[in-house]
Amino acid sequence: MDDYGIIIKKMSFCYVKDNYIFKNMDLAIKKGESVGIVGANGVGKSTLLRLIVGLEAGYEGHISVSGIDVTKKSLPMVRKKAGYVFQDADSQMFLSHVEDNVAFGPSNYGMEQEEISACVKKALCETGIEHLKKRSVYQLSGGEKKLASIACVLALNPDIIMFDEPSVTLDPKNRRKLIHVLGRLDKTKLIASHDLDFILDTCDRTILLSRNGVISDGKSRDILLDKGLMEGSGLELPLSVLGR
Amino acid sequence: MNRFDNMLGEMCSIDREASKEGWLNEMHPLVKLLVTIWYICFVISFKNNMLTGILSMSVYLIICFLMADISLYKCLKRMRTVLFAFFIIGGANILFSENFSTGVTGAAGFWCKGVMSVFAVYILIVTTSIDDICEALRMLHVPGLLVTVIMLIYRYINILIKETKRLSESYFVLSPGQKGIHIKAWGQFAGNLMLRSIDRAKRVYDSMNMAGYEWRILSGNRKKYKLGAGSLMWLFVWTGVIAVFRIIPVFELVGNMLAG
Ligand SMILES: Nc1ncnc2c1ncn2[C@@H]1O[C@H](COP(=O)(O)OP(=O)(O)O)[C@@H](O)[C@H]1O
Ligand SMILES: [Mg+2]
Repeated sequence: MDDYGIIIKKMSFCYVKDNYIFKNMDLAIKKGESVGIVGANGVGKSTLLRLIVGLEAGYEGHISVSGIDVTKKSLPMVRKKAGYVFQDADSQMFLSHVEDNVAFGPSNYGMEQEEISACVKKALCETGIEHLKKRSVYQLSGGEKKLASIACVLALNPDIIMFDEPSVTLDPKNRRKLIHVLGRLDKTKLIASHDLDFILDTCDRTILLSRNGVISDGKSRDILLDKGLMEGSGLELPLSVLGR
Repeated sequence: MNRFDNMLGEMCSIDREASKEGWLNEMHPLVKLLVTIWYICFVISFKNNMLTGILSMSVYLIICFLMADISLYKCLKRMRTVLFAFFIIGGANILFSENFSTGVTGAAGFWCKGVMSVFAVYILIVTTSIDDICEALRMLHVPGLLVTVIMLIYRYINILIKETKRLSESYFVLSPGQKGIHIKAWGQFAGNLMLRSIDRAKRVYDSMNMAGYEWRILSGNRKKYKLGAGSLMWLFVWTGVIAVFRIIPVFELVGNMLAG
């Protein structure tokens, strides 16, 4: 079991009683894997990520992250192992300066000042935005903001990092930059998105969700390029394929 | 809509000044908080008609403004709304008093007390970040939950300004040529604004917790400040001086001495 980052067994969850979004779901993600989670709007991509980091409580069944069961008590440990990049970067960065936002996590976990500075520096370096360190969040462009919010999560040096719709609101140039940054990250990655080209560029494995749970799980190429499968679940083939 | 940008920019620059380096910025936040509270209590304790006494308390403000190199112009500009409110309330004092001249003295006293308290608070916030103020409150054993609420309110203000900006922008896009928001739309506008702000605040709170915030509060893991000799001296000198100025009419004594 040691080589698994995330294990989900017989998990069920609903926001409204008896209106299940997941029913007896099973899923296992190995350490170091890059996994895309795709599906039409409202199938529960975000909910799945939020369950894994304990932002939604009250699931039935079993979820564990890096060998730790996700319960109310274990949340601080779980959240140190698994980071979550919010869809909207403004929520992730609530302090005025980039540097303070990135340092927020490490300072909560009681690190010394030098240690915090080292974490901040490393996170900014990994996302390639050292030059934005002193900038105010209000003065950042959309792409810079996204990278900065990723740096906030990286500062805690998690084993697993999850992204909710990372490419939405980015222009093509920033999108390419983000793909490049993600490619260099040596971590277990979970990316929820309906930008299929983005998943194709960043993930080896793809999980296709529908109202009835996981309907397909396998190599990104096999799933994303399967016209029948994609259209059956309300998605379109990646543009890069259509263009050819 | 520019107004919101200005407000955001202003809050931003206050925060930046607070994290700037400077001897008053680096002083222990607890000491600054205590001196500020002490100062405001003593200023407020003056009766409205004790104008010379009240004015003598400005010594603290003058010294802080000069020594920490705080801009009076910026202070007046940023605090203008609050100061204006004090001016109006003080003015009402004249209307409701029996005698015009006592009314005017009362209003002047009230106004000075208000302005001086606002200035003292301004000195605190311009030299201390909100996080440090919250740490100081926790050191005073203010319950963690209450401190969290204070911190959230501070963050809410940011969120509220941003959401108002977004919502009013979308409103103006849909109703071109209108000067303000039509009175009929106010109720819905406010309701919508509240819902959006709550939603945003919840997300911010989630992300704070993702970064271990709740855990820090529960485990009491806090940044450590050293109570240096400079900070202690600042505390003792000012608590002493403020008390002396309150009890002894220093200005009058000096005046009498000069007059022979
Ligand atoms: N807080 C909530 N309360 C009730 N229902 C919710 C809540 N959040 C999401 N949902 C519902 O759960 C479903 C899955 O939502 P979500 O995970 O956001 O989907 P996705 O990210 O795949 O678009 C949707 O049908 C949505 O309406
Ligand atoms: Mg979503």
